[in-house]
Amino acid sequence: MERSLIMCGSGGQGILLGGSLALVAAFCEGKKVTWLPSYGAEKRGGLSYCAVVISDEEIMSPVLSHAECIIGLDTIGFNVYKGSIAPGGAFIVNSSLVKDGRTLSGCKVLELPISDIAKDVGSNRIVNMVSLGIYAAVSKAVKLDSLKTGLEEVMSSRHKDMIAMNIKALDRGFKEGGGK
Amino acid sequence: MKNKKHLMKGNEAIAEAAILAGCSFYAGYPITPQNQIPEYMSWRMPEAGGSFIQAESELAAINMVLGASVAGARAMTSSSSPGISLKQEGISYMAGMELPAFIVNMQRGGPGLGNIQGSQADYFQSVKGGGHGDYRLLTFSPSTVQEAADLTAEAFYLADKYRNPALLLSDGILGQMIEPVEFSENKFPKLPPKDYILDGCKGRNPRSLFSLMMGPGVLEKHNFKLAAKYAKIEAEVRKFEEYKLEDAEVVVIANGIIGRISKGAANLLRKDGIKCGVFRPITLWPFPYAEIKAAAANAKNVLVVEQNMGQMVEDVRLALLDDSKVSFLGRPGGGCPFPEEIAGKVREIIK
Repeated sequence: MERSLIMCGSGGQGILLGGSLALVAAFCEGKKVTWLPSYGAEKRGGLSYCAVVISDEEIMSPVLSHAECIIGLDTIGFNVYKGSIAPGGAFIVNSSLVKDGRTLSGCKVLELPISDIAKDVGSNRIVNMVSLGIYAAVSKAVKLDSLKTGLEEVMSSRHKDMIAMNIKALDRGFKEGGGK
Repeated sequence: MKNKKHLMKGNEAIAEAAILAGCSFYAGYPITPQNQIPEYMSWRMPEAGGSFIQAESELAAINMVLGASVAGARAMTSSSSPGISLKQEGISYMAGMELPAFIVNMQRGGPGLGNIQGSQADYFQSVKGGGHGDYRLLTFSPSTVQEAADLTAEAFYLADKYRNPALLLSDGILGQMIEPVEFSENKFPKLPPKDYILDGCKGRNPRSLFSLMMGPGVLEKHNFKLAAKYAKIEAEVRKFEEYKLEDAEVVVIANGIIGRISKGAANLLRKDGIKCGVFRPITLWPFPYAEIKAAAANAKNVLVVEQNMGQMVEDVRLALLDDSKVSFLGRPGGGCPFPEEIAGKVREIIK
């Protein structure tokens, strides 16, 4: 079975790192994986995007017209990719910044104040991790434990002291997403 | 690095595969979307005991590669479309001098400076002679990060075996995407010592390497010799993938990342009972003309898909000599079709 995730928002929200963590976690579970970033003259505050495909079989297309799950962390990403949700898919919307979540139709919509939750956990910089915790709970495409294991690999050595807070963010997101 | 799966970007995997293939000299000049190659080489090459040079220009880089190859090194450069245009003179000289080298082109949109999205617009440049003169370039088109690594190793081997430059023709998508890759042991036969290189003539007769041949008939003779070599390569080297072709009524022909996306399209179509298969050329020169003819023999329709407005399709037409079957879908300037778009085009042509 092929699982697909689009993570989008604005540069600086850790979109690419977040997507890589989903990739590493699924890879650790023995899955086939691809990760494809948007690639342009992107910068802090500009559009940021990555597509992750997780599968038990050979992955044909790393490019996605539609994803079964989209994480929209900022309006700039939400507006570009709101039409890319597969019918019946799950749209995780950061309602702290995105106010138009209710305009979505034909999919499950999870509006959660992800930026506020992240600040509550400890930093606005961990919105990506909170959203991945929610993703693990909602999609069950990756396990929460695999995400935690993957952190070691995706975080650069100068940020190793931040791992504890990132784990807290994953846990909190998982809970907010209804995971048990 | 060997015999373990790594998650790497296509660009990084190509650089590591080159190191493991014994590449000991890299010279290049930065350009997006291939910058991870020189970045990786800048720390990995010294670690492996080789030389990394960030040259002052593309022209300098390709001529440094030429010089390193003259001295017997497994030498490499990489760039993206506009930079590869600048390197054509050196490539032509190496073809004339029969020097092996490994060149990577992570194509971006063109013409001109274009953009930095993935593209296949340099097909003609690669397989029809981007530089001057009557020469051929071994040209490989990978569709996965794993295949990019494997073809890198093979390209170094074949370049040495035939004394000819080899090109890995890929694109920004494969360069930037991350996938698992495993580096295997070098499985190629041992090659004879290089008896043409200029490494000091103490104790032997001096040698020379050149591409200027002014004497009466000398250059013509040299070109006949090159042509015979190219014919030998065409007979011996030909790589392609056939996907669900056994009963295919529609054959999609596409290379590189588009070949892979086309396989996704074929699976979508088969869910609806449309018998679609994919032929994916892996070597673009030598081009698998005979194999394409055979693959399409029983098909009602052939669809060529490219990230350009129609280049490889000309070789497919040459292979089939039957235009009535051939349709084309092109996305130029950095556009990339989704599987659904390719499937839609197939539905349209079989109506």
